[in-house]
Amino acid sequence: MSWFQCYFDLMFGGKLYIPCELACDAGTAETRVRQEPLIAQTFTGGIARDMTDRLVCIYSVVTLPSASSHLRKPSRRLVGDETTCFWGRDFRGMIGDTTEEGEAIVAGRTAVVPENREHVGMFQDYVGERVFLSSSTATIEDSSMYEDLEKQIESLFRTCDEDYFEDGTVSSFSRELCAVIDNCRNAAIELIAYWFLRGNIKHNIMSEALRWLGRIEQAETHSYRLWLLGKCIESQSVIVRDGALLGIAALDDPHSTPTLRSAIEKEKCEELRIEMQSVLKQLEDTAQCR
Amino acid sequence: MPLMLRRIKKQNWYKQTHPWLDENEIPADPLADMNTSENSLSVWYITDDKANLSDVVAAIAANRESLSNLDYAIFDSKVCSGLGIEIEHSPGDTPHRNANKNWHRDLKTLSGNKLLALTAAIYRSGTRKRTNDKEVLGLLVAASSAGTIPIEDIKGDSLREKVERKLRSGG
Repeated sequence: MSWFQCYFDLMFGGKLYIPCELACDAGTAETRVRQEPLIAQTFTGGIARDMTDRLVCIYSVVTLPSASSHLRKPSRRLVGDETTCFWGRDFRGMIGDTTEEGEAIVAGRTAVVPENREHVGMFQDYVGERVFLSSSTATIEDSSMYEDLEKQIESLFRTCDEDYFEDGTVSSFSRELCAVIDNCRNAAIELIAYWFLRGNIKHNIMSEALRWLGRIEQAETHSYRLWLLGKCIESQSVIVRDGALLGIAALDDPHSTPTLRSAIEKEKCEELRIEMQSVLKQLEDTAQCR
Repeated sequence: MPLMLRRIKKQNWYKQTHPWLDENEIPADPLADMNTSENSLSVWYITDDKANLSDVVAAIAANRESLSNLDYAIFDSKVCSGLGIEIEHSPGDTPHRNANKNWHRDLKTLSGNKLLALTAAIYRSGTRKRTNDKEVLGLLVAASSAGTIPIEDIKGDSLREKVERKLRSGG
């Protein structure tokens, strides 16, 4: 078995970050989950989205720490136990739904984006259907379309020859970046995340992209962009951290607060830490106004 | 003593430890924000009490295509006189007419060496600040409400639309 590190992705209501590891055995129906729960008491089945390894959440049932008053009876029954999940199931529920057994339900997707061809074969053989990437409103089911998008994103980052991006100016890079996100939504963000977290992209280009990621007004990709900005604020590069900070400030979502607090504690560049504290204050003020 | 403001990009000025940098040197990245034209560098005059700072920031922001953070460095004008750099009062070119008339300056007759010395002085003793997107928008809305920046003169279409939207929603 190979273990893949992943996080839990909620189809509805944002993201729940529970670091866990998933192992898939192509020869059996079994998927094992090894995890360190942050929020959930138990984590049943399913895997989560992992931007680095490009694995996408299947489905799962998560038991929340305490019963919530908003929990209500489910519309359908889940299948699965603590160590197995079933590929190919597309369970969608609302946060707060419960099974008949009283477990709180969160939703997930069933698409898998494997890391390499071997994984593709493994998953496809088991699932018995074509592996595809899906997002909440736009589905790229044609692998050639996905490959085209992949090439477009790669080209965008690799061929950008601008050394200096002026604040307040729309460059051809930022124009194309915004256009591809506008057209391809979360699929584009996934690929951007892949390149950021795995690729060898120039730091000034990443920084510029992160600023624009925060400025885009697109509800569908909001959570994903929030996540990516939060990852990049941990970058080794001060330029990338600065770009991520500006993106977080532009997005102005108080959900970034915990990530930012953690970044402040780790930040060694005093000037940047001061800027982080300023953005933290902005987010806290925003939270109070809501 | 009056102050000078130069628009910069803060990411180029963060102080980091570079093992290859000699003690009396500054890194090269700050020079990217010191582009001259005909050996002159555009700056803005800021009063001692910084009473016009918001107006100058709004003026610069209104002259851009899109809403963005605005980073700047403020330094003492004595730095210029100490380096033999001439300061000339020249009209600005932003939608803020009052700022254009009263607060724009050109640092003239800059040699490469003087430019480097100026950059080093700003790097070592200047104050670097950032106004985030949200604050910039707030300044533009305030300036438009006050009439100091006519909304129709804001340069970028998307920027103008954001200001209009904010004004409609009550600022």
